[in-house]
Order: sequence, then C-alpha cells, then structure tokens
Amino acid sequence: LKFGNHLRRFRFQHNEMTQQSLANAVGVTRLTIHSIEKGKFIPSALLALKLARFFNTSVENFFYLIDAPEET
Amino acid sequence: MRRSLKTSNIITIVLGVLSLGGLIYDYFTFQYLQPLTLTLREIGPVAESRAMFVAIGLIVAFVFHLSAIVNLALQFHFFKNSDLIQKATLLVGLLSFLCVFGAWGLLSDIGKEYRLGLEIAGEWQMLYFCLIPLAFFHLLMLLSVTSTCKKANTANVTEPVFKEEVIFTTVHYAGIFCGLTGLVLTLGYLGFGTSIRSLKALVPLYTIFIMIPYFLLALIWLRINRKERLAEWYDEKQFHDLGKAGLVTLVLSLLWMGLLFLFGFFHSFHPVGVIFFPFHLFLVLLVFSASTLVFFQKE
Repeated sequence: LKFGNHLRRFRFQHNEMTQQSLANAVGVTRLTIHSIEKGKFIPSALLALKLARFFNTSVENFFYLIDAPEET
Repeated sequence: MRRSLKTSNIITIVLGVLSLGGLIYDYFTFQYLQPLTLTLREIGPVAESRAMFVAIGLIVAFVFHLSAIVNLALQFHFFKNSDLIQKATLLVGLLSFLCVFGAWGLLSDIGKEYRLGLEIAGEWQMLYFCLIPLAFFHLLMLLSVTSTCKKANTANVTEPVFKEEVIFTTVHYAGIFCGLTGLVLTLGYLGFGTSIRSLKALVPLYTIFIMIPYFLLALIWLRINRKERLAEWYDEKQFHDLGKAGLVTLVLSLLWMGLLFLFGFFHSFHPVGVIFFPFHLFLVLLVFSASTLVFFQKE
C-alpha cells in the first residue's frame, strides 16, 4: 500500500495558496509541505488533522491509500 | 530583527574597513620583511614593531570574520532566503576564517625558523596564498553588507516564514565545511608524520578554531528559537530527518572509530590517543550535517 494525497489540488482550489503560506498555517517548513505533496514524506496524524481542518474537510477526503500491484 | 541586522551591518562595515586596511598594511609589511628574512639579515626594531602591527591586523581580521558570519546568518534569517552569491560569500568566509588561523601559524613558523636560520621560502609563499581568500572575502562581504543596507530599508518580505529552515540548512552546510576541514587537517598532520609533541600543541588549537564558525551559527539558530518549546524547535520532517541522520552517523562513526582503535592497537606509533577526539568530532559533524541535508532536501 502507498500513501497518496490531494494536498496540491486543495492548495490550488484555496486561492492558489503557496506552499509557504500553507506551511505557516500548520506550523511546518515549506519543504515538509513539498515532500508531502510529492509523496516522499508521510505526515503524522496530528499534521494530517491540522491540514484537513485548515481546508475544512475530513482526513479521508484528503489522504488515501493506493493499492500497489501484487508481485508475481 | 531589522534593528539587529542594521546594528550588525554597521559593526561589520567598520570592522571590514579596518580589517581591509590591516590586510593592505600586512601585505606591504610582508614585502618589506620577506627579503630580510630570506637572506637571514638582521631585522631591526622598526621591523619588529611593524610585525607587531601585523599581529594586531590579524586580530582585527579575526573579529571581522566573526562579525561577518553573524551578519550573513542575520541576512539569511531576515530575507528568509539565501541566493547563490550569499551562499558563496559564506563559503569564502569560512575558508578565509581558516586562512586567518593559517596566516597566524605561518608567521609564527617564519619567526621561529628565521631565528634558527632555516629555509622559509615555502612558508612565505603559503602566507601570500592565504591573503587571496582573505582579500576576496573582505571585498565580497563589504559589497554584500552595503547592498543589504539598501535592501533592509526597503524590503517588504513578500511572505512571512514562521518555521525557520534557512538557518537550519546554513548550520548544516557550515557543519560539512568545518567537519571536512578538520578531518583533512587531522589526516594531513598524521600523514606528514607530525610528532606527538607537536600534535599535542596543535590539535586543541585548530580544533577550537575550526569549530568557532559552526558554534557561532548554531548559537544564532538557538537565539532565533529561544522562545520556542524544545518540541517546536524543528518541524516533524526535520525531526524525522535528524533521526535518520543520527542513525547513519552512529553506524559510520562506529565503523570508522573501530578502524582507528585497531590502528592504535597494533602500531607502535601512537598518535591515536591525541587525535582520537578531534577525529571523532569532525567525522560526526561531517556525516551528521551531510546526511541531515541529504534527507531534508531529498524530494
């Protein structure tokens, strides 16, 4: 299973918000937001909830699991 | 922050001008002293008093470098960014800082070897070589500070940054530079077969000197974060990256220090007892800083 997110989409829907503004809003660095968007860093439950709250949505709408193809 | 930067700008400009004047004075004094010492002629009291002013000039240069490093860190923090020229200025500054130490050591060597009537042409060449990064850094820094003076008055930082990352990365870049320099110097002294007695005199001196820029930047970082709780010093990705970097450092330093232990164990020449600590310090600093930056900036 892999971890996916709609962070970038939500950010753009939110007046094309910059990574830095979002980072400031949830108290992390810009690189952390960037890494989450790229799927390189999995946020803690606390940060995931903060992000969801900021965009006024639920964590399930925001983050999702991707089924990895089965190895044969 | 704007006020701190302005104060730092003024101090750096004053020290920079004084230090640059000292550097020019040093150059002409070297030109005067070099032929006298190379031909082992007597240097009179006038030359000795000129040499004393050279020492004062180097002390001013030392203080200027400390002020310049603090100023660059404040610039990074104020503008929330660092362009290539600022990064290059910091790098040249760290190199130049080491050249102050090098020039001091070389002058001391020239003085001792002149009294013993030994060949000192090589030392003079190295001394002149040390002046190049010093002069280059003075010019770069004076340009950087004057442009900052203009920008600090007009700059409206486009977007505030609440969670610091520029100083965080700067401290680690300095860690890489200081760690690498310390390791090269330690291995160099070991490779040249420096006597244990000389090592005992040199090791504490250069270890302290090399670590000064790193500690200075780390102190600035601490000052910026002083009002935060310990848990808020880093964000969660930084904590995560520091943890991974700590593991890499532990594994590599254990391996490296094991080899050093075996070297000391099986050899009759035992410099290991003297170089053990700086070797460990510089290695840990280098590996930890490098791996933290790699993990932090990995996309």
